[in-house]
Amino acid sequence: MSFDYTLLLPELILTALALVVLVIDLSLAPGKKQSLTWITFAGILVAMAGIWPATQTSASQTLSGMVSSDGFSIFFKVLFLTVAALITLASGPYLQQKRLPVGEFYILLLSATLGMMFMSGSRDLITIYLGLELASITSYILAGLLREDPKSNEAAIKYFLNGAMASAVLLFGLSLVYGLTGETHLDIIGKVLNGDISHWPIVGVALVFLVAGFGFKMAAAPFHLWTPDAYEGAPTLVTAFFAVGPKAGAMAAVLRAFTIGFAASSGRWTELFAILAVVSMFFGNLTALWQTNVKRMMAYSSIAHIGYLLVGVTVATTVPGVASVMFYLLAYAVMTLGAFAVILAVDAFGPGDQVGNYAGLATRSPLLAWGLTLFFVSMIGIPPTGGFMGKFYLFSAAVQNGYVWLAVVMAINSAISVGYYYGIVKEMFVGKPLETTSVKAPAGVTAVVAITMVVTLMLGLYASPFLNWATAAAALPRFF
Amino acid sequence: MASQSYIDVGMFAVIAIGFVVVSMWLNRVVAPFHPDRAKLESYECGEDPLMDAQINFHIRYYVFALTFFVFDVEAIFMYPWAVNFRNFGSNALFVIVEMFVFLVILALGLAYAWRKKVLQWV
Repeated sequence: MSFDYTLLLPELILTALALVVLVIDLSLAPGKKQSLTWITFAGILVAMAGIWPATQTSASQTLSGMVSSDGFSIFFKVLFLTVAALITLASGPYLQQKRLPVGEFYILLLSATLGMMFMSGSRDLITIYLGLELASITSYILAGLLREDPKSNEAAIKYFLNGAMASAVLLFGLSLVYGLTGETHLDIIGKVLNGDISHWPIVGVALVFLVAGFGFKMAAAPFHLWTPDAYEGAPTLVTAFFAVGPKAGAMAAVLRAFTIGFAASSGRWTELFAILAVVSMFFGNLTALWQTNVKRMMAYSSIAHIGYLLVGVTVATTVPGVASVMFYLLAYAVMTLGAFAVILAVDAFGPGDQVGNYAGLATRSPLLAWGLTLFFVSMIGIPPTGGFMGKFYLFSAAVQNGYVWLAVVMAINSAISVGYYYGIVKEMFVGKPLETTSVKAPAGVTAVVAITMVVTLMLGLYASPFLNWATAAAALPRFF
Repeated sequence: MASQSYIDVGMFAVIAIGFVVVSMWLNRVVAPFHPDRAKLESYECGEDPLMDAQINFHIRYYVFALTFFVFDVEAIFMYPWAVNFRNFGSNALFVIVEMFVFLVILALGLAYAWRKKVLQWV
């Protein structure tokens, strides 16, 4: 029994932060809670600093090997904490304007981030599931935070019912694995299943359940049905978080669980993920073409992006495959948060969330319009942006491992996606606005747009340090 | 080897179901049966039952139930902790501190409910 708290320092700081926010929230009078934003923001930065000691110790596993703090999980911890910090930065005036419960929002956001951090660090089925549930249950509540708004309630109920079913499916798959191997630790599961093909039919069933369960959580088609409604109904700030956090968390868990626990049957699950990738890309992109609500369009676009990421998961048996997924997740997180910051500004402090509301945004608020254009350019995958480099690495990882057809499907889909992104860009620069007053985004939201613009360009122009980081992190967990 | 354990499970199921059937049948055969109106009423802890059971319960009951969980979880976790405490040996101080950390977190949950006026009936 060893409890190495240095390795869990970021998680512990985040837990303490959530409790501190709760206590301070109780002592503040309603309407005077602006200070919570900065306490949360500072706390997240402290948690990020808490990652440093973990990189300095030789040990990499704690809690009897259930949780590891290797390069892989540190990469994801940095990603999750950055997402939480950016969301917090954009949150203050939005929460006030929509009359959302301030303290509860931050507590739930921090708890969800904590759950995702455990998902990325777990080497054990139990902790993976606990992390997943912590992230999911808090997400259900976040979706329904606009209590007076029926659409928000609908989003929460749909997300909850679908998510609960997905958890049950996943848990059933996990129980089959446990029944077969008598173990919950991924390393040992991998050893037991390695070279023993007598279990194959049951392993196959378990794999299908696990892929379906995780597919629900990251909203891959055909398990995506909750996504558009949940994205449209949830408060825009929460949608921004959904589009990045839980998906990246599920992706981290998938990368670790499948490559360690099921390395022996990788020929089978890569096929499943290839199918999911193709269906997600085509379904997401083709449906997004017909949307008139921008949040709904972004929901389908995120399904398509999960498809691109799953191309990388299909070749996750190699280090470049895992590294390309991690790099694309980084680029995806940055450009998606940026795009949602603009959507949030136009929705809450401007005309609304329909495509028509973006008419003439280029004259009403040039920074927002140019920012959104850059993020869309990145999402399509045009240089010099992070999205281009991310897609390039996914593409080359797929081609190197003999999935040329999958790479071609990806290229075709990137071309299709131009259609709906271009529609909004055209509105912004050519459309005639109903009003000509400028759209004033709060300072925090503007800061998020500016930061994400810089990082998106940086990931495109100076990609190699980030890719080297992802490659080193992908090699570290000793997958094989 | 593997099939042996499934036979065990089957035996267990047969015995478990058989026990219920046999004991209920035995009860029917042996026990005297003299029903009257009071005996046939549903049992509500001694109160006379009122109205239909299929009504909308006040939402506050659910919040009370959730608050009850705070104590429930506390008890579930503290019981094995107390039983095993003797075995912790040199770690005893650490284990005590850990439990109190847990209790403080749960107490914060209760404090939250209190401040949000969950415990007030309106």
